Amino acid sequence: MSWSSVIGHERVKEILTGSLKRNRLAHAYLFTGPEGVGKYAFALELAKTVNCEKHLPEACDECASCKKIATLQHPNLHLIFNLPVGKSESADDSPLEKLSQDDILGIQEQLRLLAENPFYKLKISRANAIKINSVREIRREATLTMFGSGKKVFIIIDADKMNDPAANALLKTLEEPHADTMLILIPKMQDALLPTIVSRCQHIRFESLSEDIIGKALEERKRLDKKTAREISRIANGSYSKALQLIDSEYQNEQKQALDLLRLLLTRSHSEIIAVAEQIAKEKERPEIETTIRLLQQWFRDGMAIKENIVNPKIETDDIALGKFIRAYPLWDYQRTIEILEKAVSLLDKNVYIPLIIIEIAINLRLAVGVTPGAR
Amino acid sequence: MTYLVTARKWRPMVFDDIVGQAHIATTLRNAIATNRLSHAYIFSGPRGVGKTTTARILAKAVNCLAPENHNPDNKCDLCVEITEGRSVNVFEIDGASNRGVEEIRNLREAVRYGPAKGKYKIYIIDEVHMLTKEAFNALLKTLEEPPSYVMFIFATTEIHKVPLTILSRCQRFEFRRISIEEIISRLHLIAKEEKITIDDDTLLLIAKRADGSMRDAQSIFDQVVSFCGNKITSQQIIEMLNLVDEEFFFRLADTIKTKEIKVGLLLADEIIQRGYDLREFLNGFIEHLRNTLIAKTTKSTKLIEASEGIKKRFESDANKFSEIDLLRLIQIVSDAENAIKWSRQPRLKLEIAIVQMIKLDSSVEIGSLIERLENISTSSGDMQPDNDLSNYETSNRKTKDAPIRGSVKATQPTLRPDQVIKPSITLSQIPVVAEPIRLPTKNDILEKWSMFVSEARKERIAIGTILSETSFIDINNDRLCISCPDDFHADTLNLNKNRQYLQEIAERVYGAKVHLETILSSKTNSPAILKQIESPQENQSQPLAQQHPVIQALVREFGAKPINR
Repeated sequence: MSWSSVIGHERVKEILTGSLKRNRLAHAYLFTGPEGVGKYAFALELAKTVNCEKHLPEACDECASCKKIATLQHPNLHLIFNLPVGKSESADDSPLEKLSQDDILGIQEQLRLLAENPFYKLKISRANAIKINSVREIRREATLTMFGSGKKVFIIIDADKMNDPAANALLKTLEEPHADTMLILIPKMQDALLPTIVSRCQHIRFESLSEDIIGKALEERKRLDKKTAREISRIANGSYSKALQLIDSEYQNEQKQALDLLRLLLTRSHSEIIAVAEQIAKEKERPEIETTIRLLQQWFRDGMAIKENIVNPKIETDDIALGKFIRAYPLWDYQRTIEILEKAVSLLDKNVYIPLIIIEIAINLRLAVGVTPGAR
Repeated sequence: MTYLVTARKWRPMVFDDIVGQAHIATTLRNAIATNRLSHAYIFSGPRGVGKTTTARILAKAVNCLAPENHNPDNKCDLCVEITEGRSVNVFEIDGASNRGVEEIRNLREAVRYGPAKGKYKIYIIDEVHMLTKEAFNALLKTLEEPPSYVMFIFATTEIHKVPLTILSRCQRFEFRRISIEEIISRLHLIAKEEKITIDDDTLLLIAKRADGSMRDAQSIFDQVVSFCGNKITSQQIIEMLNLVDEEFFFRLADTIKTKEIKVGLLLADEIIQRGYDLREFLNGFIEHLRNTLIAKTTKSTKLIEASEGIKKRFESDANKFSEIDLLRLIQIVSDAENAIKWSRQPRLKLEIAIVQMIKLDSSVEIGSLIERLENISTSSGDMQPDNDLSNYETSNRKTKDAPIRGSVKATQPTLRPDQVIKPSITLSQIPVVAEPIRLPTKNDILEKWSMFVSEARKERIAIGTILSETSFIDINNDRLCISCPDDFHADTLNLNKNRQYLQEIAERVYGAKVHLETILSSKTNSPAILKQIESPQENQSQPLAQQHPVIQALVREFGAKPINR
């Protein structure tokens, strides 16, 4: 089996191999589904297959072309992703032209990590959107002559991060691209895409991975023993990326930090919280804060599940802090807490001043416990 | 030959092939026939309904060398050139990529030269809404009075972004969403030509999902063909598109009725494990609730689009919920559906929506309530209210009696009985006749309070500690009122075991039986008292009079000072 870097997704494999066998590959695909299930890995594998020198419905993984794609060096493979905007950059410059040397080095490092692990999530600083320059680059590249046989494949990562002009500039290319061109769009949220874009693509939905599949993949790829692999797959929530994160010690550290923050918010006085909030705003970037809030949200969700007595193996029942919390606050409003944190994330996305968001969380959390702000 | 997706391969080439837009095709054809063509058209409408297609056909029709019944023949040189996109007279411009004022200025320059071949020089600007404001304005003069040989055709999905000054210079055509029947008949034709066997039920599934867009329908069709080959059954489609099993909707409705949060959350887990698209699931559930509502109000299943077996189930399920409850449930689900669009953790949203629905109290219509009340007052002999009303009463009373804890959300008009915490002391616990022993007075209690706390701490440290964080308020007959800083303390002290323990200690210390009663400090709103009593050691040194609540209040409110006589 050579859809090698892909985990699970038999249904999607069947659809795509069917298209390959019947020579009915579309020119534009939209891959949607939960985070961390391997949509990008799948796209890369598809790129390999259509460029493979053996022309089989499965990539051989041996020819030069396959190897080049796996290392992201194939001239027919183009990755489009969020990029920072350079100084005095105009829409006519090429996307990387005005970026500083540091930015370029950072991006190269990120790409190297992505080449090593197709489940890696790109983290490029100050990169907030896919620029219209990048989309124009697609149009330009698509008209150039191709290298060897196969297809030019453009993989657009986080396609929903295209801003309005960029998305619209893609429409015509997306509808009738040059021959032997394939575009694969991978948005985080499908509904953030223009309906006109969605309608031009063949829409392929990915599903959460089952615990068995994740467990097996962890055993085979990460050489984990069976027990650890199973434990991790249980709490990974159907996402292989999440499972990888869980192995990572950095993640455990992040979780600890999130709980520390929660403690601070619940116990300190308001003036102290303001100081803490400002401290956090200085030290952390928005994506980091979002991760923290998401971790807390997940934590409260588990709390809700435990409180409702769901004997669900999904939940880490040996989370001591959580057990203590549930006992200490028997009347905690979990449902409301999750909503509070959700709102905080949306504020974060809207570029609201970070200390304000944190103070808002603190105040609302105190309402969830039933203790009025300032009472402690 | 390279494969072209159906939407491109089957792009209509003549006016007659355009599906669902007969009003536009006829108008344009008549305009050509009577030679009343405008110099500028703007086509608007949702995605995938034929705007660009119509623009291309119109461009060919006016230039075609041998039109048949005002349709382009698609064979002459000019038509072929336009189809292949290499015509020198027809420019198809991507408005989103060429949106600046510079591009429009170039266009204005080019407009001055007549067509090289054919009658018209045609500019098709697709996605015209993306032009910048300056670009639109630069276009205005040319658009109003272009040379006689120039025609503009604009196409857009977002007509509201186009300035009114542009709109008023164009003839405007609104494209309609394509009906399900029209999509089915077109797909039927394509399937026949491509030698693909597919039945009408399966086509209905595809057409329903396409939501009025031909291109979406053809995309799904393509996908289905590449999945199944030349013989397609509805079962395969359900598998490929992973459509939601109706059974889940019935199960969820049952769970909401039986109010089991646990079952609900497990159901959510199952839905996610199945890999269903959660928005699709919620949309399906809205439809399910709507069907139940229809079955209930119309007492028939005529308006429900479903198979016979399922219609029967709706009939029997119709009386599970009241109409108002159904409407409230629909509201919750549609809110959740809306929120899930923008959520990166849709799972959480689904779970919360389900919990919300389960926690929702069944409402009682005011009309029927009044009716019942009247019934009660008229039937003087039998005071037994009927079942529903007594439910309503008890739940109402309980919420009233319960101490204020946490916050009650506005969306939950009444709390579920088991959600409400029982009052810390119930009527039965208060003996009607006090026992004939000397009851400790307030001063007695205060004097020995620290002793009481330390006694309590001796045997069970946890209880003692919690007790030490509370404060004594008053003693009323044999009821010892204690103020607790929050409900955690109150709940711990109210555990039967702990309460008994403390009462025993109190008996030892004060020599009298007392009953423990806890009050949340937020209710007593007299922090001064609490502070004083919280540190009993200090209190000992103060004159007792100063600990009296009235005096405390005087000190607090008016800044009174004790006068030493």
